[in-house]
Formats: sequence, C-alpha cells, structure tokens
Amino acid sequence: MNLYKSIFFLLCILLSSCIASDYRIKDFSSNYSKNDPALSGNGEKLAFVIDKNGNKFVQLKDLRTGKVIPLRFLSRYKNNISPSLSWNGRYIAVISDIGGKRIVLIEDLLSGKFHRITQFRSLSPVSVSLAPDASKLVIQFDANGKRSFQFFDLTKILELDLSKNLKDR
Amino acid sequence: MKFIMKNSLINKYIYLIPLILLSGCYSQKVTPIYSLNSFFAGSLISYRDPKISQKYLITIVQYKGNLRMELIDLDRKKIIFLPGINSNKGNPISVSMSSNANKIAFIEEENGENYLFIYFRKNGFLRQINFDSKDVPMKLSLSASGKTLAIQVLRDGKTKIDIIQLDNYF
Repeated sequence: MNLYKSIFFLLCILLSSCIASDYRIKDFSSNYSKNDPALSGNGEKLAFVIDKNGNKFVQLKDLRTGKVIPLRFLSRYKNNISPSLSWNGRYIAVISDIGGKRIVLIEDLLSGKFHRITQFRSLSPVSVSLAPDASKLVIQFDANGKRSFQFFDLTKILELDLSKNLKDR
Repeated sequence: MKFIMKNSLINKYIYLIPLILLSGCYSQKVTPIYSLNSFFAGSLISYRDPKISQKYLITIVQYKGNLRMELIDLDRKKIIFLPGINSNKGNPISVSMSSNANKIAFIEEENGENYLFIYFRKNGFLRQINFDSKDVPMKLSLSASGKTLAIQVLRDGKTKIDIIQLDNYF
C-alpha cells in the first residue's frame, strides 16, 4: 500500500513539474540580438529592438499568435531604442535617431496616424515610458551625465487606450 | 468654359494635395505637465529607467553614488516606502511595475551576478526568479496587468527575450 502511495506522490510531483514548466517561454528564435523588451499593458503584445547589422529596428509581436505585427511608419526608421506600449498595444512610442538628433515617435496602430515629438531644445532623450492608458509620457534625458526626466500630457493628441476590465484602470 | 472652371477648381484646392499626403504624419507639440516636472526638477538626484502608470512612477535613483528604487505617487506627489526592496549589497539595474504598483519586478547586480526579483507591495514579500547558470537577466518589462514578464537575457553571447507568465509561476 505504501509503495502505491509513494508511486502516486511521485507521479503527482512529475506532473506538477510539467505544468510548472509552461510558465516560461525561452527565446532561441533567431540569430539577431533582441533588446529593450516592452510589454503592452494586457501582456498580449511585445515590442523590442532587433539589431540587424548595426541597424536597430523596432518590432512588435503578438504573443498569442507569435506573429509579427507590421509597423507602417516605424519600420522605416533604423535607429530606434526604448519602445513602450499602451494597454492594448494601440500606441507604440520609441526614441529614434534621425540625422544625429533624437526625437520621440508615436505610431497609432488603430488610426494609422504618426506623431513626432521634438520639443526638447538641447536635451537628448534616453528612454521613454508611455502610461498604459496613453494619457501621459515620461521621457528621460541625459544632460552632461546627469539624468532627469519630464512628463508630457498626451490627451490632446491621443485617445485613451483603456483596459476592458475596469479593475485594471 | 468648362475647362477654365476645372482649372480654377484645381488651383483653388491644389494646396490640399500635400496636406492630404501628409495627413498620416504629425509633428506636434505636446504639453509638459508642469506640476509633475517641478516636483522632480532641480534636485541633485540622477534618475534612471523611469516607468509610469496612470498613478505611479517607479525609477532607479542615484544619490551620492548609491543606487536605489523609488516609487512615487503622482497624484499626491509622495514617495511610497517600500520596506525590504533596496538591499545594501546589490545595485538595481532595471525596474518595472504593474499599473497599481502592487507588483514590482527588478534586476539587481551583486558581485558581478545579476538576480531577478518580484516584490509584492501589499505584503512586502520578495521572490527570486531563477535562471540557468548560463543565462544573465539584463533588462525587464512587467505588463501593467502584472501577469506577464518579459526579460532580456544574455544567452550564448546574444541577447534574447524570454517571457514568463507570472500567474502560473506563483
């Protein structure tokens, strides 16, 4: 009887370890390096920067299907860093180096609109974080080694991207 | 006569053509949020890796050579005490949070090794997430729902992105 019990427990342990191993998806996909991960608020989309021969392209992936979501505007820019996504992944914000000048770009995947935010005077953006509802943006700057940040209100240029679940808001 | 009319119509609306072509692209001025910017301006602290939600900001602050994580309530403009999150030995290198800031994920460097932790703000629990000895966690993003974690991992000389579903993990 004790033997059966031990076998049963052993099976339970083996089964639980199989279930627990589902929680992690390891990336062995391509030869390219992937950097700067950013999840959408609902965790269904992942943005990252892919390094192809020194060019840094931003890519957006649907984690449910595994498919790459095309970016109409951002795919044209090849020096991107620090992507950030809104709750449903409707908006993607990145920092892009255009002719030696860093600016913030926001692509709206729903309406197809594209926004350039350039009003930083001599400050150089280092990272960007979009609030999940896309109401505001925080941009980190580097000024002679000292890093600071500034908040920007986006409600005049973007619609809110809210969770369908009220508890998440 | 008809031809002249058509021409005059074209001339009248010709300026609309480039506008239509550029309608998908905007260079716009967004408004700085002065009430928040003034709260952080002028301090001797250097900030790294700031992440925001509707109500909170989490960031790594550097003050007199020390690095630590700080959570700030943006509505009340107050620093929220996080007992047990900042160790004296390790230095935080990447931080991310859920939208209600109840879960905070961070990578800490200690003696040349990187460790990944999840901090549960409600009860102050700290849980470590283990990696294979060859994998080095470098940067992370926690979804605002607090359910999914994306980690940039150095593996075989290349950086990759692993995904962890936290609901299944804990």
